[in-house]
Amino acid sequence: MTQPAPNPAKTAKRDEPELMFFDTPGMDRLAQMVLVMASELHVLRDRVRCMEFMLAEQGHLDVAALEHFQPNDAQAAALASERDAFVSHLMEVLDGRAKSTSGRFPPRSPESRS
Amino acid sequence: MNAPVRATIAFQELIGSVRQHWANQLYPALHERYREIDRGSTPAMTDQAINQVAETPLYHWFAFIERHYQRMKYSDPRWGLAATFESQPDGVRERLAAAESSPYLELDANLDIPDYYREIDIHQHPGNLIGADYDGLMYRASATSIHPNTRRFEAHERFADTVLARRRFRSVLNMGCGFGKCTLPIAARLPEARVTGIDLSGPCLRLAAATLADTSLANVRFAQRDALRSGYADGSFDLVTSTQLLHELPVEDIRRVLRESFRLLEPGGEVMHLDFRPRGRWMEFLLDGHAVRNNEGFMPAFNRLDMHEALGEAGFVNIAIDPFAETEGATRPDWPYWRFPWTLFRAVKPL
Repeated sequence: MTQPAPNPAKTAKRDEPELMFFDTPGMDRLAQMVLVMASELHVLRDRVRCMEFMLAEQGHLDVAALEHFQPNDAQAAALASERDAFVSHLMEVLDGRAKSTSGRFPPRSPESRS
Repeated sequence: MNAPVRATIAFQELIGSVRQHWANQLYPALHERYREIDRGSTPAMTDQAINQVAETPLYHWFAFIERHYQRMKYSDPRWGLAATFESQPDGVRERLAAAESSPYLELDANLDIPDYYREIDIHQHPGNLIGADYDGLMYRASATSIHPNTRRFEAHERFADTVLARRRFRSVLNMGCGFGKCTLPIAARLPEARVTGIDLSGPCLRLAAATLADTSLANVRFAQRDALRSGYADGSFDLVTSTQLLHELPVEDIRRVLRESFRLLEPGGEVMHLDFRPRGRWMEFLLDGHAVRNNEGFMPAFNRLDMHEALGEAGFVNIAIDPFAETEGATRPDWPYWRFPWTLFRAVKPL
């Protein structure tokens, strides 16, 4: 399958005001980090449960072996890549980059406290 | 069409669950807090109570979650709709492109698109609805989780039932039809009628035509036209409708849409615009906040527009402005959950 070229309109982080909802400095970004954590956790749990269902259905799941699993090099690299993506996803918000990819909203928000 | 990967499905389902919790748990708690505080018998005391609620952590979280889960739904870098639809598998784009040659679709690449439509990403939809060929698909995917206590597009099905209950219209124009979520139910209920959907968004219209191709309906046409100046002849229709269009427009454009609706109707024809209308300061306050959080910049002005006067100014008579139940029981006074204040604006062109 040929991947289409990225569409600039969908990927550019256009200049938009960062809405602030909490009075405590930094709280909004911390709260966004929690949302990211929650979504990462949910997606992971969903995947593990799906995997368990599939393996159990096929009679392949050995829980004891899972506890002592040792990844080979390729598997370790895959795990590291996933881990890096997780950290990037989690931390992106801290420098304010995690704006909507949607664009500027003209009126200044009464909730924009920055 | 290949399904999105499991992680994307899980993430988007999480967004839906959060929206449900927000509407059914968080909002009732916030409303209860407001009712505890608001003992005012004057508008000033009500405003004072609202200001007090607006400073509570509960409201801060309510507002924060509305803003950021909508942002994440579209723009999350891993599983958001923009990232998901950017990498659609082969076949999807081709199917939408094929819809361009549908005899039921008329596109206009030279249509004059208003500046605000290009500049404001309504609903936090990146690039609005004209940036990419899959915008219609994104919009449809997003729209399914906005109204958590209704079935998928239930409001639009019920609106089509309302249309049918009025009379057997023969020629219907659906302004701002998007991907046809209201046009197609109306056409299905009025097979003898000619039903036309118009919209500014080419991507949405392609999806509408592709969806139409999966039905046996032959009485529908979609066209890329501006509801302010549709180009159809005077008196071409006996019903002009829209759903959730007016609040997206500047006030002057709303008035133009009403005048255009009037012009397009034959004498005795009816206009039925389904939109929102807050009743009371509390709902007005919530919608003002929603407008900011969801990039719907013209909504506050629409909420304050005297629609009875505006319809009358356009020439209409028998004007009726009534609450509309998007699902059974939603307009009951004791309905506890968050809902938009759906309202049907209806009027008649005099004979």
